[in-house]
Amino acid sequence: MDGSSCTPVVVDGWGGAGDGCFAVASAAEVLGAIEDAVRAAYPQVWQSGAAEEFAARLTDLLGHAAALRGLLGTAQERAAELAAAVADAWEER
Amino acid sequence: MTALLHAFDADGAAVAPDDRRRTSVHVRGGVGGTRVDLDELGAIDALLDGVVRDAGHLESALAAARRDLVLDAAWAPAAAARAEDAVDDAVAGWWGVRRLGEQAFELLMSVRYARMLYEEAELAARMRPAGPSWAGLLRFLLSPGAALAAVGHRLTLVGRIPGYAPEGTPGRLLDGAAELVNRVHGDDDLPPDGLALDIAVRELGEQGQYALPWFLVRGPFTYDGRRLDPALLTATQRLVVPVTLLLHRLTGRSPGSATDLSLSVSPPRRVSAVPDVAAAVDSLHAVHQDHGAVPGTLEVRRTDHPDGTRSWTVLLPSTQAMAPGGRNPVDNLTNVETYGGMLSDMEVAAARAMTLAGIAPGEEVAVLGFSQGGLVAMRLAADPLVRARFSITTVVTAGSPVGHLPTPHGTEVLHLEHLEDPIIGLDGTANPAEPARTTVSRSLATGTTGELRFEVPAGESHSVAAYARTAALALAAGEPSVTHVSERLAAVAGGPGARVTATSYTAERG
Repeated sequence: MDGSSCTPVVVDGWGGAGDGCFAVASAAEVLGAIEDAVRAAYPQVWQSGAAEEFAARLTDLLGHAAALRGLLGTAQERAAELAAAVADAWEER
Repeated sequence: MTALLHAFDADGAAVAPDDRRRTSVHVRGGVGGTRVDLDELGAIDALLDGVVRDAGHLESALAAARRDLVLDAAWAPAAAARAEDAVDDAVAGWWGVRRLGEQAFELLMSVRYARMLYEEAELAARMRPAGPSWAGLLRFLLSPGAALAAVGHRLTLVGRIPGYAPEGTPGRLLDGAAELVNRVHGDDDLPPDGLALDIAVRELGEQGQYALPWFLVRGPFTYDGRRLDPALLTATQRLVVPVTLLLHRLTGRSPGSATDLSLSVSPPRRVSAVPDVAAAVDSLHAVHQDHGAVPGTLEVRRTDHPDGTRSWTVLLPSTQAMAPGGRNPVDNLTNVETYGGMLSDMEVAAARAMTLAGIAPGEEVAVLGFSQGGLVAMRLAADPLVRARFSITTVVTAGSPVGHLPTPHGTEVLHLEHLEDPIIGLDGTANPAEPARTTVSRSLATGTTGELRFEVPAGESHSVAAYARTAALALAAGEPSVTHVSERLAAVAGGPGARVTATSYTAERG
């Protein structure tokens, strides 16, 4: 996810319009770091029933991260629509 | 403090079923294989710590994004509302980042407690503590403050004793100090109470053993009919043994020579055979005061197998009387005696009950004990006079501080421990992991998904019901060491077609 779908809005004399779309996109980038760290946390040497349970919980966490990625995608889509709508509104004004 | 902790020695709250939740139990020793690399656990801890931090950053970034979206609402209100809803969902929805962070934190604490557990076990396996010496005594005499400071420093790790209701100014000061410690350390850096007390008690023993000139005792000696070898005592035992001797002197009696211990027998009754170790632990309720057992009662169960053979199970209770040396021998005197590896009235009572029950030489016996009962069980199985007469093949302890006691020869031992149970920390060491000695450890605070809580009441962590649940979870997890002991126990305590008869014996000092 990045900010390429966001429509830049140039508002004379007042910043901030359309920035929400870029903010959502930059927030979503943090998720990648989270997923990488969770993948690296799978035990290699630790072997026991508890280790298997721990690995299963890591898999649950990765599943959660994948679902969150979907939510962030939706949020970014809607933020992009909003940025476009704001740009249109500014043009029409 | 012991009295306050034992005041919670009850069943505690009902244990919630773990359906649709993941629960971890840690098993060390026995026939199964557990491999642990402490460096790896440390690295995993650091990675998950980073995940928790990043989840916080992501939530903050989304909060900032939402504020930006709100600014756009004046230009396109409908589109802004949809975008804000989507961001809200990504923050606080079921699959949102907030819950992701919470889950990551639960997992972090779970692995952190596991790391602390295995670090303690590793330390216990490698530690060669200093024994009695002139130099130690001299150091103690010259600088008692340093010894006190060292113990106090370790005690600061014991930051949570939930349910502790302070009485009087000293109690309130203690409670306030504990609260302060919690705030300074932070919950996620403190070890669970069972481990924290292990560390503090070990330090107390290592410093306190020098308060007495043990180095003057040159070799093994006989006391109360049993041999004591100072070289084989742990540092904490070197503190406890003199206390026990003093109590014997004050009460004017010792178990080996006392003639006033009486045993009354209740009529036998039929009970259900136990199919596994979880049911066996649950059967310890039968000798629990809260379940109507007469104080001082232990139980001997005879199992008649379809093939005509017999086997036996002995159930031993937890501490019932705080004042040492009263009429009820299930007291703190028995605690210090068994802790020190010495003979106790409860051990004498159990051996006498086994004789009265008619246990023949060679017939298999399993001994189960909760809390103090586990200490007595370990002593009973290791006592040479008892071993000469009975064949104790299995010992199961629940919530018992027995890590310092040696594994009885020819006996399979299973220990059940909760990391938050303060009683298990009183031995000052982790249980050794040996082929014939299995320890099941479970954290009630961090071991189950969706149930993270740092304060677990002692009434729950130190309860028969919770330990039966832990045994059931270890069995359900298919842990080979636990399954092995469970099958062995079931063969002694029950099995298909077996008929089980229970007889209660109530011990009382004169």
